[in-house]
Amino acid sequence: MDFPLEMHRKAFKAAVAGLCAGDQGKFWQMNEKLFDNTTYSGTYLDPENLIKYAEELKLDMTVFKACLEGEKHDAEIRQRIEEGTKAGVSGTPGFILGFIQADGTVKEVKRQLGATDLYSQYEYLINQAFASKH
Amino acid sequence: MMKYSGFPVLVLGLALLFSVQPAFSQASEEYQTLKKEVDGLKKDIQDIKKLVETKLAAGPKPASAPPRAEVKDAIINIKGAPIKGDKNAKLVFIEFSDYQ
Repeated sequence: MDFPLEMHRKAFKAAVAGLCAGDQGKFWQMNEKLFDNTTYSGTYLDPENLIKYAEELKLDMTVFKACLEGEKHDAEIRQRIEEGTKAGVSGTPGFILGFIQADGTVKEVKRQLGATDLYSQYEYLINQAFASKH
Repeated sequence: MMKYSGFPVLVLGLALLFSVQPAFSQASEEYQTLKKEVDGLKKDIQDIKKLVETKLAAGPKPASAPPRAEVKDAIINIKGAPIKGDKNAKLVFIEFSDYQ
C-alpha cells in the first residue's frame, strides 16, 4: 500500500504514477521501475522520468499524462496513508500481517515495522499469525 | 706555563655564570607567573562547571517525545489496493512503502 512520506518530496507523485499505470493494467511493472533505484540517482523520480517509464511500458501516454497531472488517485493515496497511520505505521517499510474479514478489511495479527529482508522473519510472523488463529 | 694555563678558563667561566644567572632568575619568575595563571584558569573552569551543573539540575528537563499510543488489532481497509497472490487468500501481508 502506498505510504508516501512527506520528507520524500517525490514519493507522492511517484505513487500516483504507479496507480496511473495500474489503470492500464501495469501497476507492478511500473512499481518495479519506480523501485529500481540501485544507482540512487537523484533524478530517477523526476516527472520526465515517470513519463519515460510509462513510455517504456508502452502505456497510452495521453491517458497516463492526464492521470499523472490530475488528481484522480490523490484521495486514494491519502486514504492509504490514513489506514497505515491508524494502524501505527509511521515510517516505511511497514509490514502488517492479518486475516481478511468478511467485509474485506484486514484484521491485524502481527506487525513488523522497519526494513527486513530475512525470509525467516516473515516465516516466523506467518507461523505466529496462524498459531494465533487456531 | 702550565701553572697559569687554567686562569683564563676560570675567568671566562665566572663571567658566564654571572651573565646567565639573571636570565635564569627571569625564567623562573615567568614560570611562576604562568603557573599562577594556569591555576586561576583551572579554578574558573571548575566554577563554570559547577554553575552549569547547578543550572541543569534546577532547570526543566528536556522535552521527550510523547509515548505513541499502542495500536493493537488494527482493522485496515485495503479496498482497491494492488495485490499479488491468491485473491481469495485468508492471510494477507500488507506492505506500506514509498518511493524515494
